[in-house]
Amino acid sequence: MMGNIVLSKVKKSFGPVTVIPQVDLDIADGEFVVFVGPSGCGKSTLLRLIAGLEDTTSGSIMIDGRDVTDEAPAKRKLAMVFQSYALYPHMTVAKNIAFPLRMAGESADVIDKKVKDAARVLNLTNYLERRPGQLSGGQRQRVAIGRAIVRQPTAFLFDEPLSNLDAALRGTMRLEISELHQQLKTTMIYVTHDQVEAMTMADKIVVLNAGNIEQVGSPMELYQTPKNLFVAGFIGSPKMNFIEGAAAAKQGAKTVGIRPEHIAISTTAGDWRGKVGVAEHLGSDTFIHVQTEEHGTINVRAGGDVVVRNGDSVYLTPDVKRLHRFGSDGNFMRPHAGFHLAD
Amino acid sequence: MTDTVAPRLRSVANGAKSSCFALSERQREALTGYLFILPLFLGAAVLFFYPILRSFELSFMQTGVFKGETFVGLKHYRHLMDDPKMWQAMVNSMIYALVGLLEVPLAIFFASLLNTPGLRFLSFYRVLFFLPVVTMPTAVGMVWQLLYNVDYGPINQGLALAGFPPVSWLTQPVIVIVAVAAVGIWSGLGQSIILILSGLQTVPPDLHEAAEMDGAGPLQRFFRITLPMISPTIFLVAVLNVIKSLQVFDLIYIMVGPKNPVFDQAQTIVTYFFEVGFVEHDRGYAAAIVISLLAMIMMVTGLQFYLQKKWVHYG
Ligand SMILES: Nc1ncnc2c1ncn2[C@@H]1O[C@H](COP(=O)(O)OP(=O)(O)OP(=O)(O)O)[C@@H](O)[C@H]1O
Ligand SMILES: [Mg+2]
Repeated sequence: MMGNIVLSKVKKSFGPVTVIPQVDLDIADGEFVVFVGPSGCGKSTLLRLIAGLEDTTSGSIMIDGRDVTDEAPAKRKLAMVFQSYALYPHMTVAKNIAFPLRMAGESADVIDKKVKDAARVLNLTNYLERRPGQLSGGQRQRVAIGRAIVRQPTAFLFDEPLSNLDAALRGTMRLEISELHQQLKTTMIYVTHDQVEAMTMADKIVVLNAGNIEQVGSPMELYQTPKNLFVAGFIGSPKMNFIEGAAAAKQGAKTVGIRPEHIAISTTAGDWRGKVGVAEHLGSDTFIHVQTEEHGTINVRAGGDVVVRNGDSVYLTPDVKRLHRFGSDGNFMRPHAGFHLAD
Repeated sequence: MTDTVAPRLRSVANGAKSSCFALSERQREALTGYLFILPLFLGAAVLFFYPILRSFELSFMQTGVFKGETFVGLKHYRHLMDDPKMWQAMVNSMIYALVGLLEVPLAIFFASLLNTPGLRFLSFYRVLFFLPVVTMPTAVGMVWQLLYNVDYGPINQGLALAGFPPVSWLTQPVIVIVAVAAVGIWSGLGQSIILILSGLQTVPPDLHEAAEMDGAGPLQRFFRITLPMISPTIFLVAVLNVIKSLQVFDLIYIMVGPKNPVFDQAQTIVTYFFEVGFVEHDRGYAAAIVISLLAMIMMVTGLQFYLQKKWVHYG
C-alpha cells in the first residue's frame, strides 16, 4: 500500500479566525515527515486536517492520488497516535489494540493473531489483560502505537506523542518509533516542538509559523541553509546568534547569523572581545554566554574541556565561512565572494 | 532523604505544644476532622437517625389513639406477611419502579441530543427539561389528571383521531399505575438528563476521535465508547430513580386519590403507610410498613450494586 499525501492550497479557518492561510505540501510514500513550529502555529490543526478530524475550509488533500478532502477519517486508512494516547479506559490492552480490527470486521482468529504480534513487537505481551489505568506512561504510549499498527494504515500520524514522558523514556521511545519506521517503511507524519526529535527522526522537516510553511527540507538542509530568519532561529539549539547594524551592513546584509558552534573562543586573541556571563558545563559541551562590546550577548558552544568562569575576559572568532546573511525581508542572501565580518 | 526528615522535624517542633493535650499529630488531625462533621452529624441525628430508630421501636408496639404503647414483638411483621393490601402495594410499587426505570434510557437519549457539539440554545433546552422537576407535584398531578380524562382528555382525543377506543387511564388496576409512573418519568426526566449530560461532558473528545479514526460509526461509538464511559453515571441515575419510585406518594394520592374506585388496587407502599398511619391511626403497624420499605429499598439497591459489577466501568 502506498502512502503519499499531497496537500494543495489547503486553508483552514475556525469561524472568522484563519489558522492556516494556505499550505501546499508533498509527502512521499514512506517518508518520515516532522512538523515543527512554535506553539499555536497550527501543527495539530494541519495534522487533524490530514486525518479528517477537521474539515478543510478550502483546498484539497490527496492520498495515493485519491481525493480524500471530503472523506470520513476511517476511510482515509490513516492511524493516529494522540498526545493523550486516547486509550479506551474501560477496555483491556488487548481490546484496545483489537478495536480497529473489530470495527473492520476481522475474524476473531485474525484479530487474536494480530494483537499478539503487535504485543510482541511492542513488549506488551504481559500486559494484555490490564486496563490502561494500570500502565505506565511509556506502556500506554506503546498501546497507542499498537492500536495504530495493527490496522496496517497507509500512514501514521503522531501528535506530540512523547511530550508526556520523562526525558529518559522520551529518548527510548524516539528510537523505538524510528526503528518502527525502518521496519514498516510506512509514511509517518510527526508533530513535535522538540528540536532533537525533529532533527534525529525526520527525513523531512516542515517548519511552520503562523499557519504558513516557512521551509521544507532535510534536517541538514534546514540547519545548514535556513531560508530565512525564522527557520534560522528556530532550528538549532542553542539558537543561532543574530547580529544587526553596522557589522551586518558591512556584509551587505540587514542581519547576519552565526551558530554558537561556529564561534571559536580564546582567552588570548580573537575578533571580538567580551566577558563571560554564564557558562553552562554539560560535560560533553559548554554553552557560554559572552557579553561582547560590539554585538551584545553572543552564545558560544565550546567543547566540554573548555574551562571559563563568570567574569573572564575572552575573545571570540566567528567562522566566516559559516555566516548566514539575511536581507531586510528576513530572507537568506547568497554569500558573495570574500565577505568578512570583523575588520 | 529530606522528604523523610521534614515530617519528623515538624513533629519535633510541634512536640512542645501538643504534649499538653497528650495527643499525637494524627489524633489531633482526626479530632479536627470529627469536629468539622459534628454539626452535620447532629443535624442528621435529629432529622434522620432518630426517626428511623423511633420507627423501628414503634414497629414492635401496639398503639392506639388514647392508649400508650404496648410491646407486641413481631406481631405487626407477621400481620404484614398475610395482609393482601400490603402485597398489593408492594406489587404496585415494583411495577411503578420498573416502568419508572424507562426514565434512564429516555434521559440518555435526550442528554445525547443535548450533547451534540455546537448545539445552540442549550441552556434554554435545559430549562425546558428541568421545569417539570421544580413544578409542584400537586400541580403536575392535577394537570395530568385532566390530560388522562376519559371523555375529554387530549390523550384519548388523540387516540380517537388515530382510530383507537378511549382508555380509562386512571380507573383500571395496573394501567393506572403505569399511567402515573409515566407522569413520574415526565416530571423526573429533567433531573436525570442533567446528571447524564454532565456524565457525557466528562468523556474526553479524544476518545471519540480515536474511535472515529479506528473506523467506528456513530452508533458503535455510542455503544462501545460513550455508554461504558458514562456507566457510573447511568448506575447512579438508575439507583436514585428506583429509590424515588419506591417512595412515590404524592402523584398517586393526587391522581388516583381515596375516592377513586380503584384506589385500593392502586396503592403503593407509601400511600398504604399513610392510610394505616394517618387515617386508621395504627402507628405501630404503619411503622412496620416503613421499616419494611426501608429494608426493601436497601435490598433492591444492594442488588443493583451487585449487578453493577457486570456492566459499570470505573475508569
Ligand atoms: N477548534 C478550534 N476553534 C478555534 N480555534 C482553534 C481551534 N483549534 C485550534 N484553534 C486555534 O488554531 C491555532 C493553531 O492551533 P494548533 O492546535 O494547531 O496549534 P499547535 O501548533 O498544535 O500548537 P501546540 O504546539 O501548542 O500544540 C491556535 O491559535 C488555536 O487557538
Ligand atoms: Mg498541538
